[in-house]
Order: sequence, then structure tokens, then C-alpha cells
Amino acid sequence: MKHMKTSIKLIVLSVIFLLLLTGCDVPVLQPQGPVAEQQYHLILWSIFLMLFVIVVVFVLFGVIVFKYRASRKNTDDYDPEKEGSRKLEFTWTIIPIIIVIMLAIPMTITTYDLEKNPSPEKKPYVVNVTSAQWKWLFSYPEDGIESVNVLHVPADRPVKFVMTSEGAMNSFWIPALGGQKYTMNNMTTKLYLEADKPGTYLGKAANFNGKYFAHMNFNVIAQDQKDFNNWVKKVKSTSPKLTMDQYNQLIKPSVVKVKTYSSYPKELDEKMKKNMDMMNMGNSKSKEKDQDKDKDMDMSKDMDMSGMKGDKSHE
Amino acid sequence: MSNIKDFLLNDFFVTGEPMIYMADVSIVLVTIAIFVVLTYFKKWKWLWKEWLTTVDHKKIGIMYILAALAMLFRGGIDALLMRVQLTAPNLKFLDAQHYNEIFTTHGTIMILFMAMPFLIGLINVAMPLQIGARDVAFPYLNAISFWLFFVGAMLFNLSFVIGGSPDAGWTSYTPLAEKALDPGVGENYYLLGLQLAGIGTLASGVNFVVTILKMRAPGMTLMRMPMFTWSTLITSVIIVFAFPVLTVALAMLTIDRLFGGHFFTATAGGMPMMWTNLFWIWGHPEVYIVILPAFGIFSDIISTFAGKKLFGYHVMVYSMVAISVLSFLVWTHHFFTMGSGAAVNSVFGISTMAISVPTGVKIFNWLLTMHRSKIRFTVANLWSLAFIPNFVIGGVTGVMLAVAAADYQYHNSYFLIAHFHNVLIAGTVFACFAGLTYWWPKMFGHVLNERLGKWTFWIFVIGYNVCFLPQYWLGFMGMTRRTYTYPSGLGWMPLNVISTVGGFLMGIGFMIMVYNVYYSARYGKRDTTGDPWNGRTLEWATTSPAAEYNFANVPEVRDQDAFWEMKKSNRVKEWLNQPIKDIHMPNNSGRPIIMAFFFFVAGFGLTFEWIWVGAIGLFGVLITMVLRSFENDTGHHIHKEEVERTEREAGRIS
Amino acid sequence: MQSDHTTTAHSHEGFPWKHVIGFILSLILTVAALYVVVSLSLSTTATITIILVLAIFQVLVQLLFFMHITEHEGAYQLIAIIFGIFLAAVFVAGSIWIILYGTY
Repeated sequence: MKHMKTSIKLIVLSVIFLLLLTGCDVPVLQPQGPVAEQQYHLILWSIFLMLFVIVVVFVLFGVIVFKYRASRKNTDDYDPEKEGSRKLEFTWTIIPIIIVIMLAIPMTITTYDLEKNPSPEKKPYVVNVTSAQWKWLFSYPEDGIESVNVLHVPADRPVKFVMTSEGAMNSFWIPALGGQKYTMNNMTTKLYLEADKPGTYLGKAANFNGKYFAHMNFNVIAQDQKDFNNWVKKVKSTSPKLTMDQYNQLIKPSVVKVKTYSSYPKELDEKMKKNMDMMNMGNSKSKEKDQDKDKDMDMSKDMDMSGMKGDKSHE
Repeated sequence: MSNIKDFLLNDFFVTGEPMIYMADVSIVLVTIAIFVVLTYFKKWKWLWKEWLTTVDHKKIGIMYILAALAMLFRGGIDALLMRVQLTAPNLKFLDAQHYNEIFTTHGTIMILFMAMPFLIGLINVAMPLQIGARDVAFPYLNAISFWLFFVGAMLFNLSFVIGGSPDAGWTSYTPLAEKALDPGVGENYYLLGLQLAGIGTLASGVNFVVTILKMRAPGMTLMRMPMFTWSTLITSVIIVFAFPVLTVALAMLTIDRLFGGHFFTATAGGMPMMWTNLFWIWGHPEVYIVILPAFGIFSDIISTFAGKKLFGYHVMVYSMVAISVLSFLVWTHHFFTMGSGAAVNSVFGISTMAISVPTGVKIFNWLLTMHRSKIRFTVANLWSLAFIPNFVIGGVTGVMLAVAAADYQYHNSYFLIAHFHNVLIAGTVFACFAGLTYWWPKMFGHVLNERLGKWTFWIFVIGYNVCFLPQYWLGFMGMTRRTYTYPSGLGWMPLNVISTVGGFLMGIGFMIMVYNVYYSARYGKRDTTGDPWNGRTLEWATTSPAAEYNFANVPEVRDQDAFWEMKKSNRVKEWLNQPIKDIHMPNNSGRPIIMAFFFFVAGFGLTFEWIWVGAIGLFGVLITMVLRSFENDTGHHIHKEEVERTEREAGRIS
Repeated sequence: MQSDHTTTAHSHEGFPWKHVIGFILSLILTVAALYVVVSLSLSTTATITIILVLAIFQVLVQLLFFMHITEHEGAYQLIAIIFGIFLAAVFVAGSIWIILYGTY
């Protein structure tokens, strides 16, 4: 059993290794932070257990189908009235139960862990995330700035994302840093992630929210605290302010380029706070969204994420 | 006048897409062709009397299957269009809107208008025969079920050329699917098409439960029923408890969209997450509605072609019962990522994993059924054998998805896409093809060509693996579902190319199957015995195709695998020569199709929010129901001389 | 005989009063619930209480007038009703748990 487990482990790792050698980024299997790391271990553990199941079934299947073909020479062992076997059936009820338990315990522990700050000794940096039709808005309440379609975070420090949505639901996912959570109108969800080191990672919208959903990829730029502070400073000194009017314009359906703002309206923080009280649903008045056709839209340029790879520190 | 023209060109007919013009033209041409052929061969009366008004479960089953195959074709074309678009980054083969419509219709059609009717069709054909009944318990209701499904499917498909297709995904999550964010009639088509078909399915569920509980041949206790009949019973119970949830959810969203309700809106006190919740309360049991009959089909086929009793019959039944109960207790795993907290996610994660236990038991029982047997590799059995390893891959990835904390990294990614295609194709689609090949002689009196069938099998199964295995990896690479295109530079293209190639292989396999249908109808081996596979269950005890009355005399059942036991103890001849009596049968009726027509009118009117048209349609439905209520239809008798003549012509009595 | 449709003839004796009364009662209960929600502006708690009570009556009407609850069918009927109650409880309690208590 032990031996088998190690050999399966070796097979998985070598297959994954070979596939990774092809040179592509496989962010889920190349975790860049403690959250993704925990999930990666859970994924590997489940792959080991499941490969064990696959190997057993495939071997049994191959042997039985080959051995008991009707065209075989000697069919003396043919036993058409065999009804079943308590002992065997009991065995293959118990073994899956054991496997499920072996999976359920780490699952529960990790699921509870992921609700918490992954590095409790460090104070998390807070980013408010809002998904709108076909763009991501990020507010940085500690620094009072705002960015659109690009997310800057300090590396080596947990980030607490407080998330909501204007209009349709979406799901906020940074595969290299860890798994996703939904953003929902009039509601707030939270997600802790952390980047181990500086780098640029792929950010994804994972839940379909209308026509140009596919254009909601964004870059996540993790920088060490000094570079991050410099970026904040730069945004504060060079970028325009975001007014409420501009915000309301921004959340209308459209695809926009990367933008930064030196400040954002206070109402947005209040809105987020209000959303936190789930029972307070329906209080915030939201305007009828007119389906303004493709205004302000930059579809001519094809999307290209190749720039990402260069930035990333591979070792 | 110009107003009307404006409306027709802008809102009514879908314009501006060459593919849709092609569809318009082909719809018109096919309709004309059907009219011409029927008129030329003077077949109108035949069509009406033999098919459109029939209440015969076998014919209704065949119509279900034909419609499902047509839907498989449409859903398959949708799939190939999507695969072409995703072959390379930034392709402009389809635009965003068109792609969004196509994945919506692909998903909806494949689940609700392909998989379910295909299985319900096979159930209709085989189940009453398996229990030795002359028809289902409520043949008239059965016809209504079929026609409701049919008009629901037609209404849904009409959206392609009139008014525009739905574009919010087959899950139709609110608030995206609400009017504020998705104006137009597309979503209305989704709601009303599903509503009509759903009511039909609910009625089918009731019908099958009563049929199985009340109409089994003498001696057939519950624990002697064929496994396919057992799976039908359990599936029908799931339908009865799950479909009302869909009906209610659809009605609520319809009220939101048509009458300004706020059940699922993001404003005015609505709760968008409740749609997700209700959808999956129905949606997860729905998964088992399309997989349990598949398990039943595989059980019967594997046991037949192994020439051996099903291993662990009782445990097979108990495991299906366990799956059916658990299927209602896991729905949250479809939205672990909605932030319901660790407690909710852990509980539902564990309940989901628990399903793998009874499923695993079934896998091993199938394997052991073949232990010390004589396996014949017919096409029907090949599909069933291929099911085991392929389904296990889908099953174990399902367990991986059930691990809540890890699911955060799989949710809505191509890993998920690969998983559910792995279970739905290796489970449901393989079962449909296996069942179709297996029961084809029972439906049409000839066997499908085995050589062509094997070509289909290998090309399809290889194509299916080539198509979906790479998608697991794409999921790890971060590719999300429903994305109409993707950026270059992520390294996603090679695997997408492979996947597209696999998709087309599946398409080729399907085309060979269609050719096989034609070829076998002309040259296929006729089945004169009624028992081409050396079968074990009662459907093989009657002629192929079965006579209207199914059995001249209802057989007496003494064991599991009733027909096998009859053959073994040489009771067949004696049974056939029992004296024949008059047989009481239900009458055909044109009212189900007329009622369904009114349902269609109502659905179409409500789709376009022409309330008065909807009202007319519903009034027509009410009238047909009232007329039925006051009808005194006691059926008719087939006289014993006629039965004897039919049996003699089939060479069953001398 | 298996597929004798003897019940068909049987059930058409006399006017189906039971069904008509049940139908009208179920319509009244539905309209009443709609009226309470749309036209009366009671407090949320009062509204929910009233429609819950109406819903329970609706269930009883369906069971008594259409679903043959009084005709003893033995084990099947009992199992079906227990299973139905169980699922209804799971759906309601589960939905409340998932949506209200889970989210942050």
C-alpha cells in the first residue's frame, strides 16, 4: 500500500513535471502564494487518491475484459448464475468510504483555513473589488486610490479582497495566487490571497456576465512594499481623480483600457459597508442600466497576455 | 406599415448573420420537402393516424428518439462552431454575441432536449415491455408529455431565427438573465421552452412511477425487475420531486421578466442568489435523472452480452436508491465559490463525495458481472464497456471537484467543462447509443450494421477523449468557460487545437451512425426471432418490432431475468400456445397534439410578451382539458382472431 | 388484466364535485396569497406568516382533493409523503442556511 502510494506519487509528479516542461504557465499547479499553495497540496492529494482508484479499476477492467472474452479457448470457468458476493461488495463499499474520509478531513481543514488570513502575523492590505460589465474596478482604501483592469498588490503580505458587483455576478480568480469567489450585487464577499514574491500574474473573470465577458482578463502586479508605495505615489501625483459621475459612467456596459485614479468617491466605501449587512438588501437604489451599445469600446486591439511572462520571475 | 416592417426586421426575424440566413433557407426547404413528399406519397393520413395521434408507448418512444437525434445534431453543430472559434486566440469566426448564444443553446439543448428525451424515449420503448405490460399506465398523458416536450423544443429552437437566442448560459444566472441586463426575447424563449418541456417531463415521471408500481406482469416482484426498469422507477421519483422546483423557479423568473416582479433582481428586495440556489436544487437531481437510466441500460446490456446474471443485483438497487436520496443533498457544490462559508461548503463537499461510494460499488459490480462470463463484443456492449473506464475518469474528477477548497481553483474553469462532459458523454451519450443499438431491432425489426457501428464507436470514443482530456489541463492553465476568445501569449492554443480535432472526430462518428441508420434500413439483417442478442428480459420475448398489444399473453414471471428463466426451463413454447383472449387497448387521440399546439401558441405569445396571444393559447389548453374531462373514452378491444392472425404471421404460433 | 383501463369508466360516474371544489379552493388560496403580498402593506413578518399559513392549507387541499391521501395505499404512500416532507425541509432549511448564514 505504502509502496504503491509512493509510486503513484512519483508518476503524478513526473507527468506534471513533463507537462510543465513544455514551457507553458500552469498557474494552478505553480502556486505563487500560500493560498494557492494550500489548494495545490489538496489538489495533489486528491489526484494521488483518485489515481489509485483509476489504476485499480483500469487494471481490473483490462484483465477481466481480456480474460473472459467469449472467443477464448477454454470456457470451462463460465459461471452464468453467480449472484454476487457479500464479502466483495462489502470490501468495495468500505474502501471508497475510507478514501472519502482521507479526502474529507484535509478538505474541511483547508476550507476553514481559507476563510482566514493566510499569514496571521501580518496585517492584510485591503482592496475593494467591484466587477462591472466587462471591467474590474479596484479601490485601495488605505491609500485612497483606484485602478481599473489592473491590480497592484504588495508582495509577501496578505491581501484582503472585499468584493461586490455592479449588475451581473462575476467571479474573481487569480489562478497563481489562489481560488476564486463570486462578486454579487448588493452583497459583499471576502477573499484572502497572498503573493509570495513580486511578479505579474493572470487575473480572470470566472463567471459569465454578458457579451464581452471574455475581455475581463487583468494583470495582477505584485511588488515589494517599496515598489508598491512608489506606484501609489505615482498614481496619486499623476492620475486624475475619479468622480461619482465618472464612476457611474464607468460601470455602464463597456470594455475599457487600464486606468488609474488618484482618488475615488467616498460613497463607494459607504456602499461597500452597506452591502456588508446582508439583511439590508434592497436598500441601495441602483439605476436602470441602459444597454448603451458598445460605446467607449476598444475592440480593435487583440488581447495579448504575452507581456506577462517576461515580468514573471522564473526560477 | 413601416412600423411593422421595422419590427419584423429588427426584432422579429434575426438578421445580419449568414449562418442564420442559411438556417432560414434550409428550414423553408425542408418544410417544403416534407410537405411535397407527404402529399406525393399520400402519407398525410398515415402520418396523422399512425404517429401524430398515437398513444402507443413504442411509437411515442421512437418519436422521442428521433427528436432527440435531431437535437443532438443541432447541439453538436453548436459545439463544433464553438470549438472552431476557440482553436486559436483572438479568432473572429464568431462574434461575442453569437458565441454567447451558441453556448447557451448548446447546453440547454443537450441536457433538456437531447439527453432527457433520448432516455425517456428509450424508457418508453423498453420499460413497458420489460415489465410485461401492454402500455404505460396513462397512455393519453404519455402522448401529452411527448407533444409538450416537442413544442417546448421547437419553441426554444425557433429563437434561432425569430427574435434571437437566449444568451445567459444554460444556467441563466440572475441578475444577468433579468430584463434590465438582458432585454429582448431570447431569455423568454428559454423560460417558456423549458417550462413546457418541463411540465411534460413531470407528467412522464408520474406516468412511469404508476406504470412500474401497478402494471407489472404477474410474478414480477420489485426485486425481480430488470435493472433498467429499476433505474426508470428511481429516476421517475427524482423527476417527481425535482421538477416542481424548476417549474416554480422558471415561473418566478418569468414573472420577473414579463410582469415586473423582483424575485431575483438585484434591486427592490430581490435575491439573485436564490435563482442559483433553486436552479441547482433542481439541477443536481437532474444530473442523476440523465445518469441513472444510463446505469440501468449498461446493467442490462453488460449482463446480456456477458451471458451472466448481474452481479450483486440487490446492492445495485440499493446503491441507486442511495444515489437518488443523496442527489437532493448536494446542490450547493455548484456554487461553493459564492461565499457561503466553510461550514456550508464542508458539509456539501462531504455529501457530494459520499455519492462516489454507491457509484463505486456499481462500477465494481459491473466489472464482476463479467468475471467468469463470456463477453461478446457487439456494438451495444462496446459502448457499455467503454463507459466503465471513461466514466471513472469523469467520476474521480467529480470527487476532486467536490473538495470544496480545491474547487475554488476549478470552478467555472475548463477543468469543470472536461469533468461534466466526461460524465455526461461517457455516461449518458454512450448509454443512449448503446441502448439505441440494443433496442433498435425491437423498434424497427432489423439490426444495425455492426461493422459501421464499430467505426462509429472507435472514432467517437477516440474523438471524445482527444476532445476533453486536454481540457482538464486547460483548466489548470486558467482557461474559464464561456469565454468566446482568449488572449495570445498564454500557451492555450496547442491544447485547444487538439480539443477541436477531437470534436470533429466525434462529429464524423455521428455522421457514420446516421449513414448506418440508412444503410441498415436497406440492407440490415432482419430480426425474425424477436431475440437477436440472446436476451434475458421480457422485451425479447415478443416479436421485433413488438405488436401493438406487446404480448398476446402476458408472461408469468418466476425469477429475475424473466425471459432467460423461461428459455432455460423451456416454458416459451407453452407460454406462446396459451389460449388467446380479446385484448383491451387505449384509443388514439388527436387531442394531445392539439393541446400542445395551444401550449405552443401560449408560449410563443408570452415569449413576445403579447399577453393576449398567450391568453388565447392558454384558453385553448383549458378547452382541450375540459373536453377531455367530459370524454367517456373506454378504449377498444383487439379481437382474439386478429391477435391470433398477427401471431401466426410472425411465426410464433402454428 | 394488466392494461385493462377499467378505472377509466369507473371514475366518470357522476359529476366530479371533489375535483371542482378542490380546484376552486386552490385558486382562492393562491389569489389570497397574492392579495396579501401585493395589495396589503402589512409588516414583513405578518406577510410571511400569513402566506406560510395559506401555503399549508394549499398543501392540504392538494393532498385531500387531488392526491388521494385518504385512500390508504400502504407503504408507497407513506414513504412518498415522508420523503416529500423530508425534501421540503431540506430545501427550505438548506436555502436559508446557505444564503443567509453563510455569506459574510
